[in-house]
Amino acid sequence: MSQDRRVDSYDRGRIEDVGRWKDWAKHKPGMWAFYLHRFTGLVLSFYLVMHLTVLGTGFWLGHTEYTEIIHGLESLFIVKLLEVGLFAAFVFHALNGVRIVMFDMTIGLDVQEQLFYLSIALSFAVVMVGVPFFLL
Amino acid sequence: MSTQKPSKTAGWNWFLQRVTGVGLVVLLGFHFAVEHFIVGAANVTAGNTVERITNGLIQGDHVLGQITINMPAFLYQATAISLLGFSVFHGMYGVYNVLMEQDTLRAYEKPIKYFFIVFSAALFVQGILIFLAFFEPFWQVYDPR
Amino acid sequence: MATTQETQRSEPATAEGKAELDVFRYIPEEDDEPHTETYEIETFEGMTVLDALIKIRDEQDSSLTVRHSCRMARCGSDAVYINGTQRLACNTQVSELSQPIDVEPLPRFDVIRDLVVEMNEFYDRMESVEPWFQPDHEPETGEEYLQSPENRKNIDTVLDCIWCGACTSSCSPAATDSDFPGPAALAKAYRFYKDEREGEETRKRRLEMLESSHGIYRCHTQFNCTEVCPKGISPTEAIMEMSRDAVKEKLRFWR
Ligand code: FES
Repeated sequence: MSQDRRVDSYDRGRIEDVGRWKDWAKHKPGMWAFYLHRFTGLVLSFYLVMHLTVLGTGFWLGHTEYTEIIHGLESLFIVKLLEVGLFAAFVFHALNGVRIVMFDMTIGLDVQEQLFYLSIALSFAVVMVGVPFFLL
Repeated sequence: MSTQKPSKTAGWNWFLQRVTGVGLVVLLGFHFAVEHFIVGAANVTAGNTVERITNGLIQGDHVLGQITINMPAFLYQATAISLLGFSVFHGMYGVYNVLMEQDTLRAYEKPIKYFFIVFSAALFVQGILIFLAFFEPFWQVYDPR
Repeated sequence: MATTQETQRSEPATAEGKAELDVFRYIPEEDDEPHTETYEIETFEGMTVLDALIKIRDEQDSSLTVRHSCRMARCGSDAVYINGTQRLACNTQVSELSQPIDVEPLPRFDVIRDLVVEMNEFYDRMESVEPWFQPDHEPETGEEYLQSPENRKNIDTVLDCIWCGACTSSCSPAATDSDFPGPAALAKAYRFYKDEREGEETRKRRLEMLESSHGIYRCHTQFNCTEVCPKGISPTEAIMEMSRDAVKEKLRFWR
């Protein structure tokens, strides 16, 4: 396709491709759902790799060390906060994922905006319920 | 543009991505419930992890108070293994697709694909090794004391 | 009588008065880089952005280039990026926009000059789905290709496509993945996919052709295309229906 590019046309570059961040305020709910879904997805994938690495290493070191690693991490407040973030990422990704699977079965396509707001509201509620479990 | 290659696997992968996704809502939800809501992350020890994996005995004293759930061991093990498999597939296929959406990376499609296959396999094996480490015959291997 | 009608239509205060337009300018022979130029014009009631641009060209700057033809949302040649959304200039009232009005060429297309973008890439995408009628069997001599009204209903909306490129410009996977036909082309594919006169063989072949992770499965249901379509088409819906059918085809026991 790029061979069809006219020599004198102005290529506005790849920044155009990723998203019109300049106009972020104009982005519609569907687009925000996509951004959030992708962001949380990448976060969760990254965590999956870290999780398996840390726990695996912990186990290869031995049972005592495994327990110590977990307690060492859990004594840090920042770790607890990050875990709330992880939980929030999971809950949103899960609820929005259900929304997407519904679309794939061609259900609810005309109420997609409301479904997005619903998934946001439900995620917020579930995470609020979860906060004491993570921080106490 | 007309270089579109019809693909036999794309549909199945796409479908599996949905199936694992829906499965993960349940499995990962269960995982969070057990580790964070019943047991509490700070109370996790090698000892009670072994109890859960080998006996299916979920015991915790967290915000909700004393809770004991005795699942059939094979059921708990099945959730653990499928959680591992589902999350590795769903996560790695997802990231792979995020990369493959970029034209600039399409030149390296083959190497990236094989990297992800090998990497996912390694993650899965790592997970299985962790899983096996909870069973007594393997303790010695990991924990010589 | 006239006054009540006026209030019912709730004409905004700016119906007549002044409007300020920030227009993207780029003339390859003169400029190295694009820049934005501000124009102030007198508006009249019912003025569209296209009217405004033509007025600027007539009265202030004859070098301003904008592609247009029908001026009634039929030809699809004047899709531009107005205040952060892909719209047809001839179908957008100046009075309903917040000022200053930002007018840019369609994002993600190469700019030939000012508001004119290179559409070849878009037409290539459209062509990749073979948007022409391919029946399995020719009808008996003398007969017509008759379509049942019920079948026609399925494609009522997608038939309205005017190839303006607004949806493809708004779709981020279409921008980053050049093998992805994009919403317009997939809606076009849906138009033929749903046409029962083509027959089962072609229907299957069409589905197979689109089935790839750079085909229908690339859609992320951003709904941008549905939001910007000046004709009210929902390409998202078309794509979802085709991918659902494609998977159903794989899982035969599901039917
Ligand atoms: S000029 Fe024809 S669609 Fe606007």
